Amino acid sequence: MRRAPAVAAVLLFFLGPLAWQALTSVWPEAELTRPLPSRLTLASYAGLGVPFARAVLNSILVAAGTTALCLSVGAAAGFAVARLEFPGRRFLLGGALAISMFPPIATVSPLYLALRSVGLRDTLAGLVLPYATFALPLTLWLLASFFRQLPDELYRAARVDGCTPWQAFVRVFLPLSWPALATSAILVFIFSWNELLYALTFISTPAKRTVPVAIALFAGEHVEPWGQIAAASTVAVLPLAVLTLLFQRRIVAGLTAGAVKE
Amino acid sequence: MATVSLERLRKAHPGAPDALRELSLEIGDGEFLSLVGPSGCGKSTTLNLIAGLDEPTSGVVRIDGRPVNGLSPAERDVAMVFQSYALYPHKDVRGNLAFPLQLARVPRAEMDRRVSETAELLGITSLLSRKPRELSGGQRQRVALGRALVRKPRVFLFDEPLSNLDAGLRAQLRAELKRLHASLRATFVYVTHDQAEAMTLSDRIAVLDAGQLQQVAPPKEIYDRPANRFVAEFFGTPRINVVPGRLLGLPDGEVGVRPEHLEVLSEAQPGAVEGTLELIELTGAETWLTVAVAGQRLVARAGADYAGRAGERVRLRPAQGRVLRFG
Repeated sequence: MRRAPAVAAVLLFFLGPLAWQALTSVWPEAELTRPLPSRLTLASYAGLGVPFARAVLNSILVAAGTTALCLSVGAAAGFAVARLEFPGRRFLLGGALAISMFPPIATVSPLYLALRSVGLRDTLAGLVLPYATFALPLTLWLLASFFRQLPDELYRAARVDGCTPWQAFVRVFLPLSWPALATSAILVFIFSWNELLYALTFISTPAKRTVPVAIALFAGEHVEPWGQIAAASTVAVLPLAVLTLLFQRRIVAGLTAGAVKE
Repeated sequence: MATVSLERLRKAHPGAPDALRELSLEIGDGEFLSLVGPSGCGKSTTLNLIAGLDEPTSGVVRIDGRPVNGLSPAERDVAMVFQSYALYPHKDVRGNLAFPLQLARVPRAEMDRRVSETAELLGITSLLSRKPRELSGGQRQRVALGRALVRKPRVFLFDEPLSNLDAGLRAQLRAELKRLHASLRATFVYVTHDQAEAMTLSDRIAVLDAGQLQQVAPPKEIYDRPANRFVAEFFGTPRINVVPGRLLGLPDGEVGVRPEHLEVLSEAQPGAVEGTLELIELTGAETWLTVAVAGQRLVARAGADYAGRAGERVRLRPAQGRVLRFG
């Protein structure tokens, strides 16, 4: 029981802003400054309309695409870094880390030019690629360190049993990597879902906007539609919450139990 | 089945002493050969080189006379059993056994037949649908053994397969391995640091130290006529006594006498040395005596009913022809 106040404080700290936002979204627009509303309404949600639904779809496409790209490349590269001997291995890891330290704002102009020259400016694919370059180092490091933890004898056994290195990766290591893959997937998805700077810069067609851009551009010249912004933000949080809860079940320890003597 | 021959194998690691220096070794068809030595002696390196998990810096590995350098483990047709079992945790026992056959594209019916045949042979039929984490250590090692057997490879490689098991189970599986080898008549290369295991199992033992081959011989010869002090000290518990020759009234130079070759005498006799009894250890079947002679300690074996006491004077005499000379 003595822990209850501490737990309440932590919950308030983390969930308070979210709750506030959710409340704002169902508060009647005209009564926002009053301590208690006369009624609750879903008008703000209804007002979001088709353009925002489109933005949600775009965001899902971009985030899912980035996640898929990052995981497939990151897992293969992480496996190579962890298990295979090849020249430039350290350089790869160091280079990846260095890239992830670039401030995004410094890369906006060159990236803009690069994307324009290959015809990917103002396309969703043109967001997936730069997102992947920023998310990939994290995925690579996370998965490489996971693959390193798996016992070396498991790899040697797979090789002796007739696996090529690629088969050992696909048939032995990948099936054991769900916890790490799920963790990486969530992190990459959240990063892509929330990214604003690139999405704002590279996309000009309104129908191709992602959720953060759509929310940022809600504010008109004369009005600040707080109710709608709150409703949109609440909608934006939902996929992340669902995803995390879903994957959380997969992130269980002990998947490798029984492989080797502990 | 197959012969394995290693010709002047060398394995170098940058910035470290060579893991293996010019190892040459012929392993006969159907032979059970143990590679023995302290950790870091190069025995596991040798096994990896035979398996194709690693390539030598120089030298040739031949299986059935054909050089296999550069071939993948699968192409060499060898199987390996690991110390940690290395079972695939996401596959059940059946899946573990079938995996090498799937990779070799063995037809389904043939695969099923061989899996159940192997499971039968090892007494793990009832475990086929279990996952490795649901098995005991001994069961896991049986499955690992099965995964090697199921392929009917030309050469079996064992990397300390019993080291993770407790003593009782180890003895049981040791006997099983020996029976298995007798019935398969396959070529076994067996790495261990346990000298007793090597002695009981092997046709021949190859002793390695610091990447260098010390001696290759049948167990009895290794024990009775060790090539040098290292080999002599590695085999036998308690360890062989190594003392200056003149302590035993012999010419100068290092000599070795095994404890069981030091006779404990009740009275002075020619050729005996006298010392003070320091320690008496009764093991049940025999008694080990630690005796201080002129500042050196000698261990001798006495009968189980030995009645002496610490502090007493005792006389020891080395058995005829049982004193080993080391240079």
